[in-house]
Amino acid sequence: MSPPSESLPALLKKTGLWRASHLDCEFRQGIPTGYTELDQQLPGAGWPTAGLTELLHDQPGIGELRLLAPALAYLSEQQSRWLLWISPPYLPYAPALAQLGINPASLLIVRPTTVSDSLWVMEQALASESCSAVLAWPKQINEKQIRRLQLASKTGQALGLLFRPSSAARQSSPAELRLRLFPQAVTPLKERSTIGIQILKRRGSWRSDTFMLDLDDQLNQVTPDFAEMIVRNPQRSAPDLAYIDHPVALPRHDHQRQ
Amino acid sequence: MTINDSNKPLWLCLYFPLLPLQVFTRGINPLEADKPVVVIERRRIIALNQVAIDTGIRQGNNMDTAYSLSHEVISFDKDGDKEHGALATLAQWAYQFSPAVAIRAPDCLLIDIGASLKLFKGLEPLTTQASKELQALGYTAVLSLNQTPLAALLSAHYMWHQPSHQRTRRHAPQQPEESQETANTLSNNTPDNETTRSIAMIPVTYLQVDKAILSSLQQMGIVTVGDLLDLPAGSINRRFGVYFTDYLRRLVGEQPDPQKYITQQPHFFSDISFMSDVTNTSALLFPIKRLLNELDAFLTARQLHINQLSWRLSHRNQPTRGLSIYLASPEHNIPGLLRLTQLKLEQVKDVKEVDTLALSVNDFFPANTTSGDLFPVSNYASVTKEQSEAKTAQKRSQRPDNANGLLNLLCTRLGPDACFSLALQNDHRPEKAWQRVTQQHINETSTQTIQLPDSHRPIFLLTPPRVMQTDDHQPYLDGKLTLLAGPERIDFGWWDRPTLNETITRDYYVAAHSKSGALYWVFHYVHYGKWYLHGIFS
Repeated sequence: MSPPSESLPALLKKTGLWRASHLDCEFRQGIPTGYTELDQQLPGAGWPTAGLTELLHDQPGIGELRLLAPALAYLSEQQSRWLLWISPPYLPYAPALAQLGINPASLLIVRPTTVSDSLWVMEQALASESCSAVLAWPKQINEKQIRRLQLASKTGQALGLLFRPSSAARQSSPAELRLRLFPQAVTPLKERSTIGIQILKRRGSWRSDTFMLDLDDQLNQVTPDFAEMIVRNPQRSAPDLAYIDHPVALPRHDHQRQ
Repeated sequence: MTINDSNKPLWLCLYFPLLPLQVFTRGINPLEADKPVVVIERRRIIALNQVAIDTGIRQGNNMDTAYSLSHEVISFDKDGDKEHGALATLAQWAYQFSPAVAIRAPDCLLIDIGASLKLFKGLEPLTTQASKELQALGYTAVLSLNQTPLAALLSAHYMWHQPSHQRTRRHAPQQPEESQETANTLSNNTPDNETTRSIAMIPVTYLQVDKAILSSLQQMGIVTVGDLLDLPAGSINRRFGVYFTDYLRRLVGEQPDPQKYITQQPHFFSDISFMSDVTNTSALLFPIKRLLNELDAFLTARQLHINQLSWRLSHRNQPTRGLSIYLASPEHNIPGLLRLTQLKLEQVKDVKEVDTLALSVNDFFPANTTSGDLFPVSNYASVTKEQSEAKTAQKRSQRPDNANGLLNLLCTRLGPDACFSLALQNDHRPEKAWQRVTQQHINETSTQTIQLPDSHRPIFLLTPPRVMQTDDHQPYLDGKLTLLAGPERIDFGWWDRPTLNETITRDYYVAAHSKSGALYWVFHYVHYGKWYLHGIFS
C-alpha cells in the first residue's frame, strides 16, 4: 500500500510504466534531425541508427534531401565514416552539399547495375560499420529484402535511409521508421519552403497526422520584379551543349521517378 | 681471429630434396594428393611422391615401368628454370630470418642466422617457425645447422639420406663454448673444433667434390669425414690437389667462405601449377591461400604495404586471364586480400580451365606504422582549444581502416569505376565546380580553399542539362513553373572553345512547380531563349 502522499505522476515515474501516449525517448538514441518539431515526433528524438528509415515520396525536388541535410551535415562533421549514396536518381552536386555543411569528400556514390548488386551493396554497407549513413534508391525491393537490410543495419550503427515511391505505403514493411512526404505548394509570403510529413510507422507510438515542417532554407525567396528582368527573345537555335566537357557521363534518368 | 661472440656465424642450411617434384605438386592440398606423380629427366624418373613410392615405382625407373605399375601416373619433365625460380622465391621468403641469404643451386639455401638469434629469442623458435612456414608453403626441407656453410650443407644432405629421416628434421650441433681456434693444418685439429666433430661421422660420399676423388678415398679405406680430416694436410694436398684441400679448409672453417647473398627484390612473383586442370574456381581457394601466405611473409620481412596485386589464371590452350585488385590505400591485410580475391573470382565466368595460378605484385610502399599516444589524453586533461581542434581535424581526415575495406570491397565487385567520391573545384561554371574522385585518389586530401557560390545550388545536378518545353516563353515541366529566385547570370566564355565567337550567357532561376511545389534549378540562354532543367532542389 502506497502512502497517500505520492501522486500518480510520481508513481508512474518511479515504476517506469510505459504509456502509449508518450514516446519513449529515453533509451533510444537517434541522430538529431535538426528540426525540433520533427524530433519531438520521433522515438529517440532523431533518425534511428539501428534499423531502416523509409521515406516515401513520388517526386524528387520536394525537399526530401533538404529534410535530411542537417543530420547528414552533423554526421559528416562528427564522423569520418562514409555517407554512401546507392544509385541516386541524379548526380549529387558537391557545391550544394558543401553549402549545406556536408563535406563532399565524405560522400561515396555507388551505381550498381543490377538489382542483386544493389541489394548486396546495401547489405554490406549497412553491416560494415564504416558508413555513418546509407542512402539508397532501390528500383525494386520486397519485404523480405527489407527485413534482411533491417537486420544488417542493427550491427552497423548506420543511418539507413530508403527512398521509395508512395505506392509502397500500402505494403507492410519491417523498417524501423516510415515517413510519407508530401509536396507543399509554394506560399509567397514565407521565406522557407515547406514539406508535409506523415509518420506511417514508428516504434512506441501510432502513426501521426500529416504535419507541416519548414525546411531550413531560403529557397522560397522571390526576387522582386524579376518578371521584368526576363529577356524574352525570339527563339533561335540553341548552341551545342556539348561544348562543355561534362566531367562525367551519367546515364540519363527520367525526370519523373516511377 | 677475434670474432664478436654475438655475431659468430651460424649457418642454417635449408635443403629441398624434393624440389624438382614439389614445384609441380605444392599446389595440391596434401590430403587430396592421391595420384602418383613423377618427374622425369632423360626418360628416367628422378623424383616421385609418396603415392608413387607406395605403388612400387622407384627412382631411376623409366616411364614404361611406371605405367605398368600404375596407370594413373602423372609425369612432368624436370623444369630447371622453374626450380630456380622457386628457389629464388624461397630465398626471398628466407629474408625474414636474416639478411644473409645465399642460394646454393640446385636445391639449397644457406642462411647465416648467427646475428638473428636474439631477435627470434633463440634457435628453437626460429627453426620451428621456419619449418612450420615451409610446410605451409608446401615444401619438404631438411634443416641443418653448422658453423660453416659447407658443413651445414654436408650434414643436410647426410640427414636426408638417413633411413630414419623421411620428414622435415633438424640437426643441431651443440654450441661451442669457446671460440674456434685457427688450426694451421687439417691434421692439427683441436678437440674443441665443434664443426669437425659434428661432421666427423658423416661418410665421405656426401662430400660435394669430384666423384674420382670420392672413389679413390674409398679405395684408400677412408670411410668418414673424420678419417679424412685426421690425415696430414700436406699429403692430401699432394694426392688430391689444392682445390680439394681448399674445400676441406672451408668445410671446417679454417678458411673464410664468403657467400653471395641475395639482394632484396622490389618485386613479388610466385606461381603454382596444377597437375590436373582446375575447372571450378572455388577449387583455387587452397592455392590462393598458399600464395597469399607467401606474400604475407614477403611483406612482413620487408615492412612493406601494397595497394595493388594481380592474379594470373593461365591454361596452356587458352589465353591467360588476369585479375587485378586495387586498394584505396597501401595496406598489409592478408585476410582482406583473400576476401577480395574470392569476390573477384566469383565474378569470373569466362575461365573454364586453369593449370597455373600466379600472383605478382610490382608496387610496394613502406609501411607507415602510426604509433598511438604513449599517454592517452584524457577528457579531463587541460587541452588548449587549438590542440583539440587540430586533433578533430586530424581525426576527420583519417578514415578508419574499415572504411577503406568497404571501398575496396565495392570496387572489387562492381569495378573500379562504380564507386566515386566528390570534390569541389574552384570554377564558377556549375558543370566544372565539382570533380569525381576515384578509388586511387580517395585518400588524398586537398589543401585548396574553395570559394562557395553565394546563391542557391541544387542537391541533384542533371548531367547534361535537359531541354524543357516552353509555354509562352516560360518553362513548362508537366505543369507550369513559377520562377522564384533569380536570375543569376553565369558566363561561359570564349575560353571554353576557340571557335565560339560569341559569349554564352546563362540566366539561372530557382523555379517551383506550381502544382507540386517541387523546386528546380533552370536556366535559359540569354540570346537563344531556350529553357533547360539543370538541377533539382531535392
